[in-house]
Amino acid sequence: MIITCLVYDKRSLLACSLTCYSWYFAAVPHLHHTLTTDEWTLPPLHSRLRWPNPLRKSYTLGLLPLVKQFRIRAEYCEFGLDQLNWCTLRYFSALTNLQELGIDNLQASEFVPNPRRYFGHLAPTLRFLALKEPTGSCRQILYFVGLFPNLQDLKFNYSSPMREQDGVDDVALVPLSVPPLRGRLTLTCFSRNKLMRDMIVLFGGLRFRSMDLYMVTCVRLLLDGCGKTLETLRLYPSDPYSETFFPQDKVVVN
Amino acid sequence: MDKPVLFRQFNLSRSKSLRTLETTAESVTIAGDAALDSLRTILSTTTSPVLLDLVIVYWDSDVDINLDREPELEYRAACALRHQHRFTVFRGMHGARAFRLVLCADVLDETVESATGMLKQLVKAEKVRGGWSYLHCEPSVIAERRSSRARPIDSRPGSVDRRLVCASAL
Repeated sequence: MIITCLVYDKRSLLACSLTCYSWYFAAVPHLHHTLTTDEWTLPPLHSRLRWPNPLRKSYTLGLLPLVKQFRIRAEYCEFGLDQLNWCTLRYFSALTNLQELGIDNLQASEFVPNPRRYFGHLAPTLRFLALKEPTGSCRQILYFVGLFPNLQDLKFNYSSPMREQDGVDDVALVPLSVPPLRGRLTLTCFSRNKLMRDMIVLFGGLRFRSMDLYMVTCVRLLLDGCGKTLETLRLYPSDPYSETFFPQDKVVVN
Repeated sequence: MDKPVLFRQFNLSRSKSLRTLETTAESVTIAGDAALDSLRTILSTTTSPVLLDLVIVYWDSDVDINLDREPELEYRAACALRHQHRFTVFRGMHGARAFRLVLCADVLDETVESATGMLKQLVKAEKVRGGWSYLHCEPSVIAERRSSRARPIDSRPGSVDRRLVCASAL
């Protein structure tokens, strides 16, 4: 109970872990709750991801299964197959109890041929997936989402919305599972309406209980899709979506 | 009068199980005079049979906490104006549909106590002025604890799976 009060205080947790063996076991899961790849302040020369410094040490000490949340921050590079070499893949595969995963600049197309090799170990436990600026066709992204059969919360974050591009999509690509997705959907600067329409078709409808929508172009589709399940909605009166994207599309109200 | 398409999109008439409508204090301030109009329009479309909770999320920058020094008079006056504007918006919204008002401090761990304290003070001060007379019950103040290191997946304006740590009705 004492440890629970200190979950956000890393220094105190560290002190607790050194007190005795039982306190060590109580404190250590909180100490290793979160991992994030290091953030670059300047674009790296080779656009390579910098994996967390303690990763190798944590792997050696067997601490990676304690990590519940992992964020792959890739500010200046894309996250594709070339970021997972034999060494980092070995560490990544040790994250066997991950519940929350965030990936920046995911190149979904690169993982389509054999996704389970890279993400299969996360399938039983992952509840929350946050994708920032994912690239790839709608089917490829949904195929990636469908890798995680217990997923509840989903987040798509784009830095600026764009008119949807009419790209060629592989209609034969069907997700490996239908995640429940009954938690929270968070969309920021989201204009990929087709992705949501495909999600309704491939996952048999939308069932989110909570939504957080900012600068989203498919609001009506989402609200209608979650009509029976939606309990919480976050919206922003300062949402500039109307002026930015549909200046001509106004409705006159008396 | 022109209404941006946003309000037409947010038609909540089909959301029969809606219980909570959330927005952020910052967003209300940025929207300025348009905030009342937009929120009233959206609220008036709700058909959910239950009493709605209107949750206003206050981020670190909205709760006027400066741990380093006492804020200047000019700054305090500006903050007071912002709060008054928001309270005016809430009152106007209530005309469209009744709701329970909840003020939520979504701040870094070390400022949770001071942020909730400040929100409670605001509520009390408004009560003295009779500002809550239109509500069935006084606003509640709750807090969501956040640590910049502990929850790196979260980012504004969306928020996912934050831990509710205290909920105290005044």
